[in-house]
Amino acid sequence: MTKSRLFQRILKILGLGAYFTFALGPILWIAMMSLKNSNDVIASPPKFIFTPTLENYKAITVGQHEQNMETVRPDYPKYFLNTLIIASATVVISLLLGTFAAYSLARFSFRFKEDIAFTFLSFRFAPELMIIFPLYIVFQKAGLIDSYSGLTAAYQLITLPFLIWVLRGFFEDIPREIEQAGRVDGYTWWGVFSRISLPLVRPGIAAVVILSFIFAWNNFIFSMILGGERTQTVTLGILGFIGYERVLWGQMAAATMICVIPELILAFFVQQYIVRGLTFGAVKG
Amino acid sequence: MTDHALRTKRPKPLQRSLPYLLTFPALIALIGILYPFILGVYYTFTNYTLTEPGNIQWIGLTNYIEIFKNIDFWNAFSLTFVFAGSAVMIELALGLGVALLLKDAFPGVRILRSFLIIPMMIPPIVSALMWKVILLPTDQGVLNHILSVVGIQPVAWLGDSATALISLILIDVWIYSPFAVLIFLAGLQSMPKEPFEAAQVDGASSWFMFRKLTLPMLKPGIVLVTLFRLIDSLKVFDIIYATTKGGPAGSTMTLHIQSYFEAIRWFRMGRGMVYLFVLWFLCFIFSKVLSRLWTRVLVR
Repeated sequence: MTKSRLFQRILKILGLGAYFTFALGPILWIAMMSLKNSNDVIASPPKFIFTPTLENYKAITVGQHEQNMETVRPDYPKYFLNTLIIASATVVISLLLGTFAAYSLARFSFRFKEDIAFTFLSFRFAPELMIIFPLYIVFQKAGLIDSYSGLTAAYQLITLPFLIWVLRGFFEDIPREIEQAGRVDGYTWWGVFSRISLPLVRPGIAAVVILSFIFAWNNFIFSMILGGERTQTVTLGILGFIGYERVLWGQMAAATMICVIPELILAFFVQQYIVRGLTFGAVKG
Repeated sequence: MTDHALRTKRPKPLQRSLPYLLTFPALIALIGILYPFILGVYYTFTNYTLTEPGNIQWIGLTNYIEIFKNIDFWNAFSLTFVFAGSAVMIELALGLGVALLLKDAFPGVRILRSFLIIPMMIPPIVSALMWKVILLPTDQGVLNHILSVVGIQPVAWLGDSATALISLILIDVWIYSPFAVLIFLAGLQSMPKEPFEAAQVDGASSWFMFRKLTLPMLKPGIVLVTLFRLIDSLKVFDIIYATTKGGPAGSTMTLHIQSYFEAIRWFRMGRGMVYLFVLWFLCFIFSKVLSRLWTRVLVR
């Protein structure tokens, strides 16, 4: 190895080391914080070495009564369940509405097709409050504020355009010849769709389901404006640990871990589709 | 006989309307989105106040004129662009740099690549809160503590109007630079090897190859990253709401955050919608320009 090659390699290691310290450091720090007791967590200067405790996790899941300390946020499990209900219902409805639309946009040619497709896409690029504020007024009149059905309907804005665009790309990837062969064999369009196309895009469906679930799970602004006490989601719940009256860093960190670990596990399953998903199908990798 | 021949030629009515039937449910949802949008545009011409929902009056362009005359609006306007412009440029540069380092195989490269998805999959509001802890002022914040080891005095970060916007750009870069890395990585890995080999035979320097081969071939990726990142940072909301809420002293008051204050805190829905409509218009123009540019780059 020449001297300059060695130099290059050292630079590369330093560069990657610096970037990944930056990218992963904050998460490791929060993971550490979640294991600190209430004194260590506010220590100044911050402590790198401490005796780990599960006290924060206990406090936010089952609650705790120690000396004069009251249970502070025992309703975190409720937020978790709320988010699970809303995100799951959102994805199921998006899938029912979007799969047919995606197939239709991929396979048929009809009037206004591209206009319809682009209108869906344009909502991806609109500021959320532009829709949410008027929706808030509509929901208020309809009594849908702080309701599961209202939030599920509003969350379609996050998941439906995404699902239609990405799934459309997956359907387009199926060679037309395969479907034509099915037609020749006497299948109706429904037969072709359900027996040939749908099974072929199964990995694509798995990817969009998981990713749209994560996007719904991660959302904050919809549930902040259109939700309420009853339907409060995890993102709002985590924000609630840091208020004007109290700052519960340790519990906030534990809540963050509980919120984030399941979705990271899910995300790793569909790793190879993430770029495709995040670019609305523009990059096929 | 003729009747039968005609029927086989022309698609059956069901088949002709099938695409519409299949798109119909999604179209209904689309109308459900378009309706509030149009309602919102209507509100910009009214004096809609949340405290008096019964009393909506058409006031024409009054909201627009008042807001365009107001220095706060232009402040928010330029802050939005400073934030979005800096974040996008840093993310492009950093993304390209890291992608180049991760392009070739070495032991552990797959694990590093899969780590990249972590910041993107965490809720942005939670990422911002994590950074709020790390950026705590004085020695309590871990970043200040680390910097003090190399002799740098504690910085107030989000708490100082001089550094708040920079801190927010840092958070945005943390969340979204992996997005740029992954797209550039996909672009770099799909490049043909021949031009590079030919250039190497001709004795071209690696800087020359980077400029004349890598960058031009990476153009679709660059446009794509710019498209998604620019629009998303123009309409940034979560990370500012979780940290500074527009402060201190309005130093991080972007259009989206300002619209929230107008509509929710000060009940002036009509005025809030003007801010949003302007922001929407900016996002719309940029997304049109960039997506057109993107399709053109792809065709070529």
